[in-house]
Amino acid sequence: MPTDESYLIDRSQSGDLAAFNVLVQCYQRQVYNLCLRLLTSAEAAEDATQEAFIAAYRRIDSFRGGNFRAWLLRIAANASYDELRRQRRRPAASLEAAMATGGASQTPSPAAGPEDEALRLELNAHLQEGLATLPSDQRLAVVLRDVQGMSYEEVAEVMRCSVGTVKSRIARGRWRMREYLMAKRELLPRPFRLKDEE
Amino acid sequence: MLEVLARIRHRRTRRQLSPYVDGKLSAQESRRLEEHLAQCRACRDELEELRATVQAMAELPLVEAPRSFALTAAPRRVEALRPAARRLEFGLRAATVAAAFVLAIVAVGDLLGLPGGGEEGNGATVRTMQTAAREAGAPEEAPAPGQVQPSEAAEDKAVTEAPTAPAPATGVQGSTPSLLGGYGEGGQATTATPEPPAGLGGSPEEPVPAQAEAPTPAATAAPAATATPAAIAPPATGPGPAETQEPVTIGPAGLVYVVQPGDTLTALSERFGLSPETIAAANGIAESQPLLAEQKLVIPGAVYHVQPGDTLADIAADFGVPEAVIETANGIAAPGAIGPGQPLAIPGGGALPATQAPSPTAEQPRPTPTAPAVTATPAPVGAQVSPSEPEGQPSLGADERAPAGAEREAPTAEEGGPSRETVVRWLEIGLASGLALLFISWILARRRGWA
Repeated sequence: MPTDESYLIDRSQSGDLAAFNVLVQCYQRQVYNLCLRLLTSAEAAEDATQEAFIAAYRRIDSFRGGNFRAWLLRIAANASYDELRRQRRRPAASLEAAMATGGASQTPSPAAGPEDEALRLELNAHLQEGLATLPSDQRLAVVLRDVQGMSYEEVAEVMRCSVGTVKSRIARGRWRMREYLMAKRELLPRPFRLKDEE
Repeated sequence: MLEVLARIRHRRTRRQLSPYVDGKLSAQESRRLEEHLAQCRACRDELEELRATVQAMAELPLVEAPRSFALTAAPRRVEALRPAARRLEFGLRAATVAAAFVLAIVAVGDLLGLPGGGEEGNGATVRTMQTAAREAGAPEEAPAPGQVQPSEAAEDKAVTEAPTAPAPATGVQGSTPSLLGGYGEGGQATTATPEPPAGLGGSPEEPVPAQAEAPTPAATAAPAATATPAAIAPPATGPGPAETQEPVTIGPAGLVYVVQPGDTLTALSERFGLSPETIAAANGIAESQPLLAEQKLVIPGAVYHVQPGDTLADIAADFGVPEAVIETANGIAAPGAIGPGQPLAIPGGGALPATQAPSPTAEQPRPTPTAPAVTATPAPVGAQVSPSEPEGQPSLGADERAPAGAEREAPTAEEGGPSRETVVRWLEIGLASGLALLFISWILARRRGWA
């Protein structure tokens, strides 16, 4: 796969749009999800994702080896911030709409019963809201680490900072998320409530 | 004591909980943390909550991309330009720095040196203006305005022809007391110019209306300049051949009479309707002093340019001068023979009310050629006159005055103007371009921030 990827990147750098589109297909889900978690609406996430790929294509010459995903996600994060700024300038898209889209498209886990599923959707909505309250650097770090499951090192690569910085951003972001969720614990599924009962 | 230690440990622990969840603590750190957790219920709870939070986020579903984001058309590539863009950016930054530097220098210079320079410039200007005025006016201390005298008049070698100058016919006019006398002497110019500082060519007592009015130096310069043509023109165009015995010419400063053989002060004063004393005073000569042929005398008076509809009687009445005097002075044969634009010498005429007196300086089209009244025959006079002019007053007047005017204006433009205005202008340009450069490089930097 990496060989594949570097070949595709190579082709893309020499102007092969088809090769680049293969890369797009590989990463669009991840890019879109990052944008979705950083932004509040699915629509905005879609725009940001498209912008990110356009920007990536235009700047692909500036990619000189290394972690292509980190490079791409960095572009996506920046596209999201741009989108966020644009959003702030115009009336904010409704958060509910974003949640609806975000929630609707998720696939119910086969094991979960209907009640659990409802609670899960609820929790997801709260998580999304909580993420929106974080400062952007903490949000990006937390999303990359906890939502996307990237390593500290890769997060550091995306954010262009040291691992130590990533560590503290993640810690602070998680702290805030915890506070946010605990403030609404009665709305949350078992893990949070159980603690309460203990 | 223990509590304090515990609190410190507690705080550190909380900071380590997040990396602990990820297994990012060293073995030693983990062991200590676990020791603490074993004793601290609050920290255990916190850890639990943190784990639940992290877990919840990890379970956030990966949403399917709503559509394909594949590009349908290749966007314009930025990257190819990169090296150039980088160079450009570097250049812009350098330019910005340079601009800022220059600005700083200019600003400092403006605060410290330049303003001084500007003032000096102004000072210089003023000085030049004064000098100019002085030169224009009275080179050697001009005697009281009224009494200009051609000290050298006596020596007058000059312009012999002047007397014969036909002037009279058309354009000649009247009476300005001024300086002309001085010019009379051929080469040696201008002895006396009555003019006060103003540099006006005007007559001492009552300068020609226009001159009197002109307040600003610039304005004065103009009149002076225009005056000359008037002086020159009349003789050239209007030398009435025979009829004119009136060698009265209108010089830049007023009316000048070239003494004819046999003239006496008394006779002249009668002819011009003035008292002998007035003429003598205007020329700084004693009444008893005999007049020399070809001596130039300043005749106090005014120059009036005939307006459409004017009659000689009107003009005479306006100036309070007998018609006959005007006729004589101007060599007008028939009462009606005056045309619009024709300059008339009004001996003894004071300034007219501004409304009536068209500024003599105003350059009026000189209808002389066409004017019926003026029977101008470009006769010999032209020849005579021209020689006299170069040496004579007209030319001198022109020479002196024009330059004076020029000097007056030029310095202001170059010294006063530039130092202040140009500096300000350059400051503005510098500021604007500096800001523009800053803005551009900021945008570039922001764009580059991407990758």
